[in-house]
Amino acid sequence: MMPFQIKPDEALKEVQQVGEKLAKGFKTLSELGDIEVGCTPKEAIYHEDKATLYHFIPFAEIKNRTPLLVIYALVNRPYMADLQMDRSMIRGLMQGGEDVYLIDWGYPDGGDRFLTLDDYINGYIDNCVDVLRKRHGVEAVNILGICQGGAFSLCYASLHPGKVRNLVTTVTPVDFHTEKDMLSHWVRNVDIDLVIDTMGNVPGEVLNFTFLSLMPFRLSGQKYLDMINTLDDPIAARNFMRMEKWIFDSPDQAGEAYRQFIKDFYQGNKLIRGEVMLGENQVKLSNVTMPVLNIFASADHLVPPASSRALERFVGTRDYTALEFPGGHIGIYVSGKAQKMIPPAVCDWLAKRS
Amino acid sequence: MSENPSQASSSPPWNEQWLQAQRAYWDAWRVAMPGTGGAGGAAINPWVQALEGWWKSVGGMKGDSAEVFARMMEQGKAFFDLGQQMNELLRAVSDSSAAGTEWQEVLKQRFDAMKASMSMHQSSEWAESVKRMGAFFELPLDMWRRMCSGASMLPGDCLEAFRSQVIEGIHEKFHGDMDRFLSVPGVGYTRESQAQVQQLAKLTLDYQKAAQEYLNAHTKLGADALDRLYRKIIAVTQKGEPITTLRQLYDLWVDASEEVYGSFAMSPEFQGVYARMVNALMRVKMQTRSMVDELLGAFNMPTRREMNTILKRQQELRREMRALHKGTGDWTPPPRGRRNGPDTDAEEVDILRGELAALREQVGALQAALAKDRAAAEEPGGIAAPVVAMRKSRRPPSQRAVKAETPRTAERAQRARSTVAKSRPSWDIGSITNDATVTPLATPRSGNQR
Repeated sequence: MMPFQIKPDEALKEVQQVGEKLAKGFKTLSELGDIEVGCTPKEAIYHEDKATLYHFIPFAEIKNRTPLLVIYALVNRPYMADLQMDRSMIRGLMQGGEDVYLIDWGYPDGGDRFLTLDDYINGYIDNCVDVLRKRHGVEAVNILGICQGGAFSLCYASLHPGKVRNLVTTVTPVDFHTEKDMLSHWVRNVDIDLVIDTMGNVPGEVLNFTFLSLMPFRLSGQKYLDMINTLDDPIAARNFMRMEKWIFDSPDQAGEAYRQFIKDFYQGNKLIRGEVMLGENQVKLSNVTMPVLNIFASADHLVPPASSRALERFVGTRDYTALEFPGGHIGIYVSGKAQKMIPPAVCDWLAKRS
Repeated sequence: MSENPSQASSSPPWNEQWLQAQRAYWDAWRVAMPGTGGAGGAAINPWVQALEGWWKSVGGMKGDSAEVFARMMEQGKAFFDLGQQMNELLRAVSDSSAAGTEWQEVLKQRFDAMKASMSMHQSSEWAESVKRMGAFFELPLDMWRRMCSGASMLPGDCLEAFRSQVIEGIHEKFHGDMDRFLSVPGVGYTRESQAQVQQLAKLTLDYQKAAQEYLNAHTKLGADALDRLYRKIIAVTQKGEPITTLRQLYDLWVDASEEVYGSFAMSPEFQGVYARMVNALMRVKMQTRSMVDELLGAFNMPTRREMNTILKRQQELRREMRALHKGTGDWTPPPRGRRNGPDTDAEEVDILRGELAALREQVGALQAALAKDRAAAEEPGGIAAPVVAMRKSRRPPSQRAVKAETPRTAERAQRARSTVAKSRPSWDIGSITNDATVTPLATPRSGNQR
């Protein structure tokens, strides 16, 4: 049998349609204007250097009196968790009765070059937690960590277990040497000391390139051809542009913190060995004794599920719950399926432990 | 599955008709797209030309969407190029059947020609068309070129120009000769500066070699992806699921490319190539920085090294201060942007004392009013006034049961009233933001407090 049964007239039509849609798309995109992100009103309640602690203004009844602090990664911007009205994990959590706070790390510059992971975790995070403890009159808060922020949350919970009532980790790397961890393989032989000593801070552009390089053809090619087909719909175009804005909005990375994260976590895999040092304190996952809900994505191309699943083997808690989401690293926050599954599951789990 | 000449002759009549129709169709495509040629020939894709012409006529796009649209344009061109390649491919396959040769063989030949065109050394419209299909494999190099421009004292992508003109012709022996030449020690008064320049030249050569290695690996990858695509086409044929649209073929090509790339990216070979290139570039950049620092130092201007020393000491001091504060137990986060409550324990205690004083004052007033009421009731014919009414007609301060003992207490009481009034939800609308318009809090930081 012949492999191709493509009729030239239909092929011509396909090509012609792409051209026409591009022309229409030009009009749509030209009229979009600025792309707004982060849909839920919020109030800044605490600043320290470039970090800001936000409180999302409640729009639903708060059922859980223990505040929930969302700790995001340094490598991207946190509005991905609150991208738009119908794709917002934050709104879902609030709808479920949580009083939600979030740390926005801002955009580090040359003056932040010597910030270490100790400064981030025992400094900024600890201070934000103290602000919330005082504000709410509670001994401990609930924490939800996202990706690298999840790893930070684990470190924090290990060093300050008395201040964390419940811990939720989402798509969080724990074992950095699993077989399918592409990022880990790439940096294994890179001289990170030389990189940081040379560049100071690591430009966000390098991160963009790295993330795109994980699936170059889908993320730099196929995605845009798919987009051409939806360009005549301004709403779909705007949604696409929000996501696009987020993908390329990578802050520069404070040099020393990045150095330690790559060397200790990615190259040395020290988190699971209990060898990460923050200042003079040793991070031991066995100290994470509060209830833990670990959520990971089955099709995660950035943090392989096996890397997250490993937490169960090292964490000290007796109350451990794992939840697998059938989707990818980003889909777990922005897909329609995720909106129905993740926030209700988190709220339900927290409610049982409040 | 195989269609050798004997099988082709015994193929059912509908198949023969189909092949004839295919030939007619693809001839029609050639008429519709004048200027298309065969592999290796000068082929100009009219769709790509039209798209570029249109883009120039509309004058481009500005704002957030500009880069996205540029990417879509690139993919549109890649899709047009795919259409052109398919035109050639399908016509050849159709012709092969007429000539009695196996279509798989013809297909393989066409893929081999495309692979050859992916080599960086070829330049023709046809080769460019094939390369655009795999344009992403240029992206990593693009990225590094941009970083290079920031790494050099010379402007723009001079390292890239050097690569294309010289490095592609470099072989090991030449590189070795250059290395030995650059290793000759300098003498005399300019010895140090000569050594620095020599070192930079050596490191640049090392980087160029590593970058070429990286590029070669990716070029090979593009060729491997075409092999994988060929196998996928054969596989869908065996399943009896013919490809009916260009888009199907495009998706198949993306799948093939991702699979090949994914395997390669996880291999020790890639780890080595990638790390060598990154490390080599960093050495060039570091050497350049050292030389710039030398220059700045000569002009008595601040250098990167000095800035790093200052920043590092400052951060260490802040860290020590935090540790000291937390160690003595008097650590509280610095007051920043609090809208609904006290900022420190001391202030909170102060407010609570004020509240207590205010409450005492109210209780005293109530007790006094009650006593007066009772006294009035005890008088013959007296009628007790309701307590509520009494509360409205407070006594003047001089008659209060609990007096403000000091000005400080009075101030506390006043602040307490004010706090109570403010403690109702009264969000500062000015501070409610979204990420698009983050409003800084009122007072900018004057220092790096913690």
